[in-house]
Amino acid sequence: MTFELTAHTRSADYEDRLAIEARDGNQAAFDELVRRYEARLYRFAYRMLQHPCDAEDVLQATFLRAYRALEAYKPGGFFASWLYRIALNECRRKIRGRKASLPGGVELAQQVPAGPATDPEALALRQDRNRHIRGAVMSLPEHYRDAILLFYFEELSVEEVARTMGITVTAAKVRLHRARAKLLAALDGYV
Amino acid sequence: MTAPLWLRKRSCRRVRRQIDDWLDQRSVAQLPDVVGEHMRTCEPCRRYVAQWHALELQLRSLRSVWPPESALHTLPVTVLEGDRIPSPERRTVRLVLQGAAVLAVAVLVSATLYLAIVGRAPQMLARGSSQMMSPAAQPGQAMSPDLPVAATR
Repeated sequence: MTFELTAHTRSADYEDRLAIEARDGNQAAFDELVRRYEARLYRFAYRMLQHPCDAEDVLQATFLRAYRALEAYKPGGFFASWLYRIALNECRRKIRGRKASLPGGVELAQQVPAGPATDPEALALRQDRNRHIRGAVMSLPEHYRDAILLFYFEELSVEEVARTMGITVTAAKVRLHRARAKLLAALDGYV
Repeated sequence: MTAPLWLRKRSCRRVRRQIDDWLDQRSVAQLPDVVGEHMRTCEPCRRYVAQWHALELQLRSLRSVWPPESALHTLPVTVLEGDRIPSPERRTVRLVLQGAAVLAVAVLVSATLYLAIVGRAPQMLARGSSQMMSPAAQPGQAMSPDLPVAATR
């Protein structure tokens, strides 16, 4: 069985259907879900963990856990939140493991690319600005950082952020608002 | 004539709540008219919107380059065959086996309890009758070490 990616199939209902079919043993359905989410989840894990190898580990673990937990999935149009929640928990587990093994923390020495630019000075400035913004996001307290990453970088809706983080919509809004305020304070001069 | 300060502040609070909602909805639509009207005359609220807007733009620009596209070239997702979800038939077999295992444990526990109770019953009966027949039993003396001593007058 094949699944065509057309505009109308990009809906949550379609993902629910894929999840149900995958639960019933349809490998193609699960492969389609993996294809839809692997890049998004990898980017998410990469941003959370700042390391490609750890992101790969988390991606693998997320899909494996999702595969085993599919039987418990209740279709309701929130497959993305369900999957992101698993990924978020895997990332947190990884971070906890890191803290246990590296008391000094992990150095975030990677360069953040600046994007297309021809002028070297503009490139350097943009790189510097990106590094500062990334640093500000990553130095937020965990629950604010997760909300910002899910909302702005994964482009989940507030309701999906709430479901992913296991909080109410109101709490998600409050977290987003406070996280924005903290970011603005941290990026004074850059924004 | 401009509105008094307390009225302007209340109006600002209401407008900012609407702005926050608008930001949360990530709406591509324009801000509500009432907000637009308010902002035409309120410099702090204009700054408020401008700074959120600038932050959004910065975050979006970072989103497109972090992580770099080169990091996405080798996505390693392969769920191993052994980890795959069993087919419905295999699930049924697994459920039947689990049921059989539970049943076996229940039978084993019942049998053990039954043997323990039935096996001990003749001994208890025999002990009870021998103590009743014993002439050495004195009034006020316990018939068995297990039984409490009766109070004597």
